[in-house]
Order: sequence, then structure tokens, then C-alpha cells
Amino acid sequence: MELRHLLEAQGPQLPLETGNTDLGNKWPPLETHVLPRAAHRFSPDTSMLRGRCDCLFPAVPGQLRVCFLPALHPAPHGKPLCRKLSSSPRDTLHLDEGLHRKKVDNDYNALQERLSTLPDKLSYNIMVPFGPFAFMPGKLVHTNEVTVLLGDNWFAKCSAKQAVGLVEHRKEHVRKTIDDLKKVMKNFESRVEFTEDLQKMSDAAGDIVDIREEIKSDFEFKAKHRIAHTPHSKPKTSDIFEADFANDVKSKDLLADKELWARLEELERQEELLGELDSKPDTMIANGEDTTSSEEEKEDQNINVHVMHQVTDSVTSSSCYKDVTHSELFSGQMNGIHSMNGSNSYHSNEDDEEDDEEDVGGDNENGNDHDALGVGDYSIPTIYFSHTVEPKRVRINTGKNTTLKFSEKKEEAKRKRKNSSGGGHSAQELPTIRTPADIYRVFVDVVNGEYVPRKSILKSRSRENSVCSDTSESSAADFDDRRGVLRSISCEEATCSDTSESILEEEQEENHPKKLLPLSGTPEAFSGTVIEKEFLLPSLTPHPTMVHPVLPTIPERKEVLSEVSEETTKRVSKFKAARLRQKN
Amino acid sequence: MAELIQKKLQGEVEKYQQLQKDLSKSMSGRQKLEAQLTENNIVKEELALLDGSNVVFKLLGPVLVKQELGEARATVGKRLDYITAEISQGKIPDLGEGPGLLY
Repeated sequence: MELRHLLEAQGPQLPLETGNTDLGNKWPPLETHVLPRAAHRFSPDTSMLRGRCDCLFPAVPGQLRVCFLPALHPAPHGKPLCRKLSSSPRDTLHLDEGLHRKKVDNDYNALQERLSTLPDKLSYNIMVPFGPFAFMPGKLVHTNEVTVLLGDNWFAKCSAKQAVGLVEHRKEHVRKTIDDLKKVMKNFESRVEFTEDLQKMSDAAGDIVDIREEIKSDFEFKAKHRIAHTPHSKPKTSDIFEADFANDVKSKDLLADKELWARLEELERQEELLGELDSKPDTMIANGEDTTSSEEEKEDQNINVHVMHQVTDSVTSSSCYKDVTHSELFSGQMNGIHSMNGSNSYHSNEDDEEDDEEDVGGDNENGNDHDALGVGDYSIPTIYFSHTVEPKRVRINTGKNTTLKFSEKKEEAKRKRKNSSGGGHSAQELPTIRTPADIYRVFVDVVNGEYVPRKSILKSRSRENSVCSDTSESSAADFDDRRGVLRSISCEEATCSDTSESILEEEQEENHPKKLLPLSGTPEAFSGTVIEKEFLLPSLTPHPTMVHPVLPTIPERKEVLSEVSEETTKRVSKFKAARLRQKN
Repeated sequence: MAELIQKKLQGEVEKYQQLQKDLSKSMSGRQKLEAQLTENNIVKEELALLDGSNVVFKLLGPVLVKQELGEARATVGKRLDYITAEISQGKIPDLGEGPGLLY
């Protein structure tokens, strides 16, 4: 019955506690089964209390059960740690994680120490605590036997060394949980940071974002200056307005700028009407109003840009440069950003035509750039770019599980060879590329002394498996364009690629007999002839619905090519062609 | 008219409060379950560390009852399975031990 009293008194302190944790990181409480405070209810005249420590666990008198709590090794010091530790695990779960961890860690460390020293002596003379106020002299015997609370009401009797092992295991668990918590916290912190930034940005001036990039003056860009297809459409030099505004006078200048832009546009219109010549070879303007093919031009320019971006190597800040040139181009147009440093800034243009550029810019931005979201002291949220220089290295799947590792150096070497062998068109390191046609000319394989246009990865049969991985992460679309749609497939979806294809188609026709594309005085991107290719292979079932472009393999294409070259300018609508074929 | 709306509103508010209570109950139940899950995992691992020479006890009420190691492991395993099943079911568990008490 004393036993019962004792153990009943322990009831509320039973170690199993649930629901305290947020993440389930509950360790077996360091609670003992016998608390000192229970002990004092013990009637002193029982046989248990014989000055022996077996009163601690009266279940089996004559044996020491020291429960697994550092507290109850009152030990030679006679100083119980129980006070410190009795409520530690539960309460501290609510506290700061770091604190908690430290505490638990310390506790376990102390425990380990105690366990290691405990078996040193056969028995210790201790003062056994009786309740909060009383102690009794006693002995700690059977010092190697430790009953360990494993958790969930499970106990195990082990030697001190085994107990140490268990403690280690628990510490490990604690550490792991704490680390997980830290990760979670980091996550939250970053989220908070991001949200703060976002808030700052949204608080700042409207939806105008100033993107800045510091371009080192010493870097060489290999980009080629483009020539306007319609040279007469350039604005006058005087009309190109570059302003250096301080940020704080932005609002004032907005109005002034608006007037200026309006004036500029007016002037441009006048120019078109008058057809004035202007000499500004360095900048190219493609205004929407210029020609009907301006869109295509722009597309080609875009493609050109990308091509140049990738053909002309390496310094990928050239991409930035391209956009800069674009921005120069469109400096004649309205924008809300005024802090330009010369030509070194992106413009966020409101023009619809600009969307391509912006997308391009966006694509290129995702390239090798680092962007740091810097909200400076300016009222405009500013994004700072900095480029990393990376040699362009691209893997091209040229179908049939072959990959070409495209590196600029190889290309240059090739070009050099080609140039030297063919008495190339330019003695430069890099070929002058003025039109998209030039690109396709460049990307030409030499087979049997003849120039075979390189097959496009779009056209390979194993296109589904084709991987075009670019270390600079430029968009695949750009790459596809660059790789050259050497043939047109009537089933292509995108209209722009259609136009480009048809252009290339035509060019390739010219290429086929000749080695070099004759550079006309004013090379046109689109000569106005659309050549439709016919599918002659019954295996290919062209659908009028252009769901999936059927990609013939190269040898098949060659057949078709030869065929087509015979019937050159036959213009048949692709639908009609399909119908015809189906009839057949 | 206004009273009608008010009544409606009140009804909705009560519903909402009820739902919230349910939610908090489920949450606390879930927490308990998770705690038990972790604990039992620890016990399982520690039991694995022990060998046959150790005596294993189970605390049933005021009594420490001797168990065999193999038995203990099995029981803990069963309890773990039970807990995980409960969690996946999304039920609120009893605060007792359930199949843990069987031995």
C-alpha cells in the first residue's frame, strides 16, 4: 500500500505528455517516476526506509533503481539536479528553440557524465531528498544498473554504458530536429525578406521599374551594328533625345518628355513622308509605320539579335548590349524612365512593339545575369544587373542520338577553315552577318566539298528527345531560330517562324546551287516568294490542322529538296497539297 | 427585414465558430498523434539498440510490468502502425492508449 501511495502520488507526473509540441519533437521526458515530492508522503516507519536508497523504487526492495534522470543521481556531491530539470523538457518546449536546444543538450551532457562516473564506486553515500525540505542519509548501490525510460511508458534496464549509448542516440535525435527547425526558420526568414522587398517595391513609384546595368567600359562586344533595311526611316540625329535626369525631378521631366516624344513622333512621320535621307549607320530603327514588312524585319532583327548574341560569342553581356542598342533605337519613343546613363539602361517601353524586345530582354535577362534586387534610395525601384561572362556552350541534338557540342571556338575554327578554303567573304574572324540569310550561310557543313546546309534540330525525327541545353539558359526558341529552319515545313505553327522559314526556304534555294548567298545591295529579309514544300512521303500524314509538325529525317528531306528544287516556284497551298496527297 | 438578415448572420457566425472549434480539436488531436508518433519512433530505435540482457518493463498504471524484448518491439511496432493509420484517417484519437494497452 505504501507502494500504491507512492506511485499514485506520482500519477500527475507520469512522464507521458502529449500535445505540447508543435512539430512533434517530443523527446522522452526526463522525468523520473519517483519525485522527491512524492516521497515525503511516505510513512517513515515502513520497512522501506532503512536508510537505503531502494526507497526510491519500492517495487523491488533490495535493489537500486535509479531512474533515468540526472537529478536522481544525487551522488557524491549530494546536490540534486532535479530541481533544475524536473520540468525542463515540457516547459521548455514552449520556449525559444535555441534555448531549448541548449538546455536539453546540456542536460543530456550532464547525464552522460554522470552515467560515466557512476559505476566507479560500488556504492555511494548520499543524502536522499525527501520532499522539498528534507534529506536523509542513504546509499546508492548497484550503481551500474540503470532503468531507462524509453518513452511511451516503456522502460529498460541497462548498464550504465548502454545507457550512455541511449543518451547519445537521443541527443542525435534532438540535434536533427533542431536542424530541421532551423531550416524552417530560414525559409520563413527568406519569405519575410522577399515580402519586405516586394512591399518596398510596390510602395515605390507606380509600376515603373528602373533596371540598371553597369557596363564596364573596357569590355569588347562583338556585336555587329545592324544596318537598317530601310535606311530612309531613321530619325534625325537631332531628334534622338537622350536625357540625363536626376531622379527627383522625374515628375517634372515627365511632362517635358511627353511633349518631346510627341514632337519626335511627329517629326518621324514627317520624315517618312519626305523620305529624307539620314546617315546614321550605327543605329537602326525599325519603326512600325515604316514598311509593311517592318514586323518581319523586326522579327528578323530579333532573330538576328539572338543569332548574333549566340554566334558572336562569349561575352554574354553582348546580349545586354543588344538590348541596349534596341533601347537606343527606341529611345525616340516614350518611356517613363528617365535615369539613363548614356546608353546604358533598359527602357521599359510602353510601346506594343517593344514587347518583343522586352521579352527578348527578359529572356536574355534570365541568362547569365545576376540580378540583384536593389531598392535604393531612388523613388523608382531599381534592379541592378551584373553579368557573368560565360563562354557559350551548347549541346545540340542533331537527331539520331547524336549531340553536337556547340562551342564558339569550334565555330570560329570552322568558319576560319571555311573562309580559307572558300576564299570566304570576309577576312574577319567572324563573318559579317547582316541578314538572317547570313546566319544560315554560316551554319553550313562542308560535305564532299559541297556546302550542305546544316540540318535544323527542329527537323530531326527524334526531336522529342532532343535536348538543346544551353549553359546560358537562353530560350530554346532562340536557339531553334538560330539553328536554322533550313526548310519550311508547311505544318509549322507559329506564323513568325513561318515567315522566317519561308525566307530561309527561299534563301536555301539560292544556296543550293551556289555556295554563297549573293549579297544584294539591300538584302531583304523577305523577297516576297513563298515556296511551299510538298510532302512526298506517304508515311508522313500531314494534317491541315497543324497539331504536330511532322519532322522528316535528313535523308528524306534531301529527297524532298531535290524534288522541290525541280519544281521551284510552284505555289501550292499547303492545304491543297495535303488534299492532293490524300487523294493520291 | 433587417432582423431576418441579422438572424441569418448569427446563424452563419455560429456555424463558423463551430467549424473553428472542430478545426482546433482536429489540430490538437493531430498534434498529439504526431507527438506520439515521434516518441514511438524513438522507442523503437532505442529498443533496437538493446540486447537480450536488458530487461524491459512497461508501465501500466502504477505498475512496472516485465516484458520481453521481442514482445516489446512488436508492441511498439503495432502502436506505430495504429498511430499512422489514425493520422491518415484524420480522426481525433482517444487520449488513451488504444491498442497500446494490449499486450
